[in-house]
Amino acid sequence: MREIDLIVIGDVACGTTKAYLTYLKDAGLKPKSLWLTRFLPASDAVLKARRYPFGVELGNFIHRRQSCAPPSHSAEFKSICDSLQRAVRLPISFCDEFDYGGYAEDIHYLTVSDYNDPFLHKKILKNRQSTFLYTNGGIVPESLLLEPDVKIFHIHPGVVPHMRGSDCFLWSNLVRGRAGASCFYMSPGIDEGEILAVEEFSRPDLGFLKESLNLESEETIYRALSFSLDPHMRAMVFIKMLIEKGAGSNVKSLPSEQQDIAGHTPYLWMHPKLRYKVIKDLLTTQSGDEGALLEVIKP
Amino acid sequence: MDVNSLQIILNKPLTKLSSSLQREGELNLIQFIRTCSENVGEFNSVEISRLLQLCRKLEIKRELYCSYNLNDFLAVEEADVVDVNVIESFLALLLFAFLQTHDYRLLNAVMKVTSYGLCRPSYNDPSDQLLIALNDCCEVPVRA
Repeated sequence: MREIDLIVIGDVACGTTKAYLTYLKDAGLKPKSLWLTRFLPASDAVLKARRYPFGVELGNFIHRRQSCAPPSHSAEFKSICDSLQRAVRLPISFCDEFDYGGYAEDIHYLTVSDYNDPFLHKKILKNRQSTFLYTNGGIVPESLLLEPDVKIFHIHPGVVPHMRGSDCFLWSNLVRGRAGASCFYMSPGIDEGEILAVEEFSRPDLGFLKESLNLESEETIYRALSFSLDPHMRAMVFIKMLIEKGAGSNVKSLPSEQQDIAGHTPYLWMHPKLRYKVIKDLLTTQSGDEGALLEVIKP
Repeated sequence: MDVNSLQIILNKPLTKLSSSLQREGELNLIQFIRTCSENVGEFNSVEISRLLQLCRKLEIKRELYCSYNLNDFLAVEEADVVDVNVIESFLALLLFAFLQTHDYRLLNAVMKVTSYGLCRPSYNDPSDQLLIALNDCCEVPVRA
């Protein structure tokens, strides 16, 4: 496998980490390093420790020992996530144990509160010669994004600048009639970074879930789509971008273009009633859709 | 609640705030609602854009102010929060704007504001009816 100078800041609780690693490996690529990260709110003891000399390290020492319940998934959620893998070329067991060792040689285990955590800041700045891949963990502060040489890839589930903001997997299906995703270098602002790639997707056959959809199950299906289908789109766009840009080891300054966000207001989270309509449409098999997989199509 | 009821809401007198003056570079919400009320069904692009900006404000902050700075769409410092009648008039405009544009952000805002309890629960009715109607007989518009 060819190594690229990429550090994956992989949230252990998020499906996107597994998807990026799976698709990188499938393309014969491996990241230089994987920071397998538990995003966990800091206890009072951690916050107190940070005030002392060497407090960042001391605080993180305590933070690493902070326990939290491992992510658990209901049988219904797991079953939906597993069935959604019928709609993709590279199925992933998102709810099962994952052997991260098979995807990266250099693995660091981190516990941080979020991207404002001083320990993560320090670690990113120390490794800023590499490029980072964001998977989850909340808002990345402007102070970090404006640091010279800090470059972080983000893949957003929507065609920017049109579809920026929250719930864009659903908004894209509603407004544009199909899902999309964009890869960009992160910048301050809502999904406003310099664009590296934009793709849209064919509609996969999700008709096998149609009978399961009702007002009670809608929330679970929504979460399962976000957890186990949306990550495939992001990973497909990221890998396609790396291949099409002919990315060598260094991926810090790939050709990119500014977004023109004028007139494009970001979307906010979708109300469950509207969400139900979108999911219902998504699960309705159209003639000719039977067995169709999620595939990239040109916009 | 049907279109006629929405029209009645729009025609209601809008509180004492309506007398405040619109200064340059600022948007007076009451005057804006009044102007839009006269153009129901024929909003221009500037009005639609401002309705979207304001509905975003309402969704996030869960309140509206009587005056906004047009440069950054932040509430003017000394501006008062508007009352429920103004919010309901504004929601009526959003529903009319949705009928014209099919921009679901407008309908989404009405649903969310209703669920936040910022207006009478009866606002559920028109948004629900629109959604049911669209589910049954409208194709999802695809934008280029």
